[in-house]
Amino acid sequence: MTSQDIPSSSKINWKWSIGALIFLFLVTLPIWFKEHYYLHAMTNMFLHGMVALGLRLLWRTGLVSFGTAGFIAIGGYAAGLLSRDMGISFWLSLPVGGLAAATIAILIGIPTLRLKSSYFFLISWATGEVIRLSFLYLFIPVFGGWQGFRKIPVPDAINIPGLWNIDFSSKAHWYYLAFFLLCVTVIIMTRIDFSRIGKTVVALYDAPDLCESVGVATMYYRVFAFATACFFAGVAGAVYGSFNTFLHPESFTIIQSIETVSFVIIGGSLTVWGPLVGVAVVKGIAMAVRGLGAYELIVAGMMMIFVMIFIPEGISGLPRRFKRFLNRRKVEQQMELSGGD
Amino acid sequence: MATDYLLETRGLVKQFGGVAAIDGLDFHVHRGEILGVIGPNGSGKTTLFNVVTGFLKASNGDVFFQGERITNLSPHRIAKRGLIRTFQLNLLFQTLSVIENVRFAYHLQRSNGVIAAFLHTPSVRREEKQITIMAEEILEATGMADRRDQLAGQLSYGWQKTLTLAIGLASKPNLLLLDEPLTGISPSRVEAIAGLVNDARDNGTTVCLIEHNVSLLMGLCDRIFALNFGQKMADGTPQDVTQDKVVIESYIGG
Repeated sequence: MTSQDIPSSSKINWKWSIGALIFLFLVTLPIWFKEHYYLHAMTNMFLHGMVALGLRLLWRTGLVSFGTAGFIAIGGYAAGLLSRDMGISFWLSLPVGGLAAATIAILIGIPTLRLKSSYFFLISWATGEVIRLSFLYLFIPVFGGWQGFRKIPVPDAINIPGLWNIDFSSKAHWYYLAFFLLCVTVIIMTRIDFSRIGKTVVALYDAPDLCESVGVATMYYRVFAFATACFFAGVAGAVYGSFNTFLHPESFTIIQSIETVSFVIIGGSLTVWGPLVGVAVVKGIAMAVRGLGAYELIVAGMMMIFVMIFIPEGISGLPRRFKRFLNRRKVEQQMELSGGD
Repeated sequence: MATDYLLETRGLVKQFGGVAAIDGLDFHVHRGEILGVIGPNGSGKTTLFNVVTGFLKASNGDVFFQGERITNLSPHRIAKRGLIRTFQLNLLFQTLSVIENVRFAYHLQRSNGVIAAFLHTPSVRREEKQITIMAEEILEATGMADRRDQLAGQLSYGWQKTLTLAIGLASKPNLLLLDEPLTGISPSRVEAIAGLVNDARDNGTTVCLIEHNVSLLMGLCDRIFALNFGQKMADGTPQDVTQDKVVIESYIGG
């Protein structure tokens, strides 16, 4: 173990320093870019990042959900109801929104996650649509139906006298809230990855029968992964609702769900950074080319096809692939030097 | 209704469509023995393993393990009771290293919960270290120590087979069901594998193994059970079974 770690330790430092640079850049970004447009777009990117990281965990068990948008909506509507109609603080509504989405995920997951992955994909799709249509046509006096869910209050201010007063009156405040939540998500997901939970999730993808045969309750881990993915979707939805003070079921169509899947495919699922790279690339292009509008999906779709064919491990797998290529070159050169052995 | 048998099936039936792969089978394993299960292709050997370990649902009949009814429990619950099986087709975690594969076998022996694992508490760290040491000992014993960090998917067929055995041994079962553990093993290593099976028995693990090559079982098994068309064909000492007229006929096809 140790003999293997030593040569790669310098590599790890290199990775960490790039990470630290990006972190510093993002922390100070509201100082460089005061324009509302960028802060708004970045805030949405962070929320997308949270959702994509959740989906990655499910993806690693060998399952994919096309109902993510529905669970974002559940989080948004649940938190919105609590803070608007019941006067409960946003800071409590936020985790409750996530838990509401996770609870629904568990209820739907227990009967459906034992199905083959292709059936689960269809059921997740249907689930997402059922949730969206429920918000559109059921309990209209509460959810607002086609009118949308309006007047969601902004979070209570966080006031530390003399230091700062975050009252969510400026885009920068939202930016930092979303950034903070994304950082927490990254830490939790990294933790899961490096613990035996993450290793079990990967093993589940490899050989579910072998997992069962050594006593792993595979259903438990699948439900866990699905519920966790939906929890983060729900939390992101809660922030999204309050951020826009408005929710409309038409924001949570299958297109949203497909976009989340595209982040995971384009960025790659091998590391926690993968889906974030996916968000940065897809949404970054859309942000840079203002008003890409409907073309954004065409671009994302084409990228998805390209990545699936040429770099199945995603963009974040490119450095690894490059390293392997260099190693092979080195071996070939050595073989030539030693006389074509 | 307690029995002296470690594993027992009573009137076990498994039907696929209209065909009975297991047809009213009464089968048993004594505590502490090495039992060989033989039979021609399609005689229901692997199906028997699959039904007993919960990977297939029994159509009829019952399975008892250590005196308790385990019919149609889910596989991980059966594994939890100490009944572990290996797979014929080298089912492994292909993208994980050899040592990681073996480490998985300790799943049931862990005392720390999921939340502790997430928090990476000191006791989890200690346990993980302990598991690595135990897994290394198993690799040493199975002759795989120098393949420790290779990916399971890159091993040769024979070594993959050995790795499935290593996973089975590491989970310290009461009863280990091995599905053709000797196929694809190089002749020079067959004896070593047989030695491992013997050692496991000496350490308190009862072993039941499916094997195609009857001659390999002669020196290893205490008893041989011969299956044909999902029914018992013969049951007895290796000498008796291999001289049984019905067995010889079904094998030679006469």
